[in-house]
Amino acid sequence: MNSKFDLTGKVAIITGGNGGLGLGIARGLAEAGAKVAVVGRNQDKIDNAVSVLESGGATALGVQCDVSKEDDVNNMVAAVAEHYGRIDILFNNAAISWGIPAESMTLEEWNNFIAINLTSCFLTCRAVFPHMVKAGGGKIVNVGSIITKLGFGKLVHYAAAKGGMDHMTQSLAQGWGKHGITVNALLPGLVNTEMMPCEGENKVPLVDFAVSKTATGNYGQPEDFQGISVLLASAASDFITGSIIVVDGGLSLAI
Amino acid sequence: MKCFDLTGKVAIITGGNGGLGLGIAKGLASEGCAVALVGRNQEKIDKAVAEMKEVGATAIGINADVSKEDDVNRMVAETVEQLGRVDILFNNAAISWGVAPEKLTIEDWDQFIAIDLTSCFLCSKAVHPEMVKAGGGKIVNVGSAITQKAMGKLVHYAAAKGGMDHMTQSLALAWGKDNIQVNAILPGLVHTEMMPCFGENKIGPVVDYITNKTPVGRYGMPDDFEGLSLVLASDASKFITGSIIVADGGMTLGI
Repeated sequence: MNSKFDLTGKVAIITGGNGGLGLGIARGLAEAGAKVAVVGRNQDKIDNAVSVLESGGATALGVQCDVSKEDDVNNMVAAVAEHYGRIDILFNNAAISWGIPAESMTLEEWNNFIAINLTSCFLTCRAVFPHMVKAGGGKIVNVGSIITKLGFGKLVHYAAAKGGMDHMTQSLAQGWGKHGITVNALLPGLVNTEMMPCEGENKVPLVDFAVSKTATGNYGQPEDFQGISVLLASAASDFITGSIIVVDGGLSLAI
Repeated sequence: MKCFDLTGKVAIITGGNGGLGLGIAKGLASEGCAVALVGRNQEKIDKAVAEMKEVGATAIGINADVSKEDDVNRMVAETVEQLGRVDILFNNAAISWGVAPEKLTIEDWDQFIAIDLTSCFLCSKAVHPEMVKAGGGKIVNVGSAITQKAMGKLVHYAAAKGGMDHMTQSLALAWGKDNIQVNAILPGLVHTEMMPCFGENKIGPVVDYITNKTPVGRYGMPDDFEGLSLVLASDASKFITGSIIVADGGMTLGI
């Protein structure tokens, strides 16, 4: 492996790392040598993720946390720093999404979506910042969504949160470059996860249509994000910051 | 990591005889790729090939003007003859210098467009049958961060590179069915012979001005592009196509 990808000695936090895309990212980072902390709300899923990672030879820690809650986030970051001694990498990957037309959404629902999908990103970034400064730099990767290149009438709340994330990425990059912290975003398209099953009995109806529009002719799998995640988490991306990178197999190219 | 492995693969890098192109070639070779370095200056080609061989890479040099159809077809034929196949193409050759649009002759315009844009069509078309034969391929267009901003004396360059960005997306859609992924990299200020950022040929106060505006606080070096090039040339990007990736240290974030 090109030595620029090497993550030996680095510590990564992956929110929503207890399943789906987040677990795929955690496995990729671990394969490149990072120690990982997988964060989620469901303790069973956390335990399962840690054992999956450990059985692959990784060093892994599970932390239960609601990333929309300030105290939870601060406690989570403190626990990771105490356990591993440092924090170098943060993937803001936790998110929730389901369709509700804007005209029938309550303010409480809206606030919940924004808190979990957008405010969480502010809270975690702010909490890891002093640790990254202490480490001499850091890597933040915000997992957004291809929705920011498209429109979905029933996902106005999700689009608003993820659009906020894209632009937060750019301004954080501008703000924290002087501390050696790079901040980038990934915009996944359709990926087979528990949130969006693309196969099996829970397959979402949109899948075949979306795949037929996708240049690569398939949906993504969590492991498809390992290479780009290692790039953005490693010294290989030291000259990449504020970039918003579409990873959708070309889904958003079509009309 | 296995997803970056390029053992047995063959890459053509136009403008590969120096600067950014040679940096990309070194990156690809670090994962086992054989490379064909294409340029117009034979001395630079010979020197680049020797440099590659010194680090143990399989490398050939090809003298070709990528704005000429016959030259491009011969370039691909020679690569296949000597290295057996073509899996990867980096459209990296380019020329650029400032001319005010009101003073630019049609001859100069045509030359810029031919070398900076039409070359990309010719090379992509010429490698297409070889990539189909190989069961798929990777095309990476090296554009410019200029397409995210504006420069009054580089209207011709902006037009060519803007064309390249959008060609990237439509080629990605067209050739997805052939398992060819097409992406673009947009470099910012990078130290090369075309744009010396230090030493006696340093391009003057513009380097300090831009560096000062750049969040990472420096200009790029050719080896900053190794990791991103590896992602886009390997299985790590099998779900990435039609993406336009800024790699400028955050330069275009500022005003």
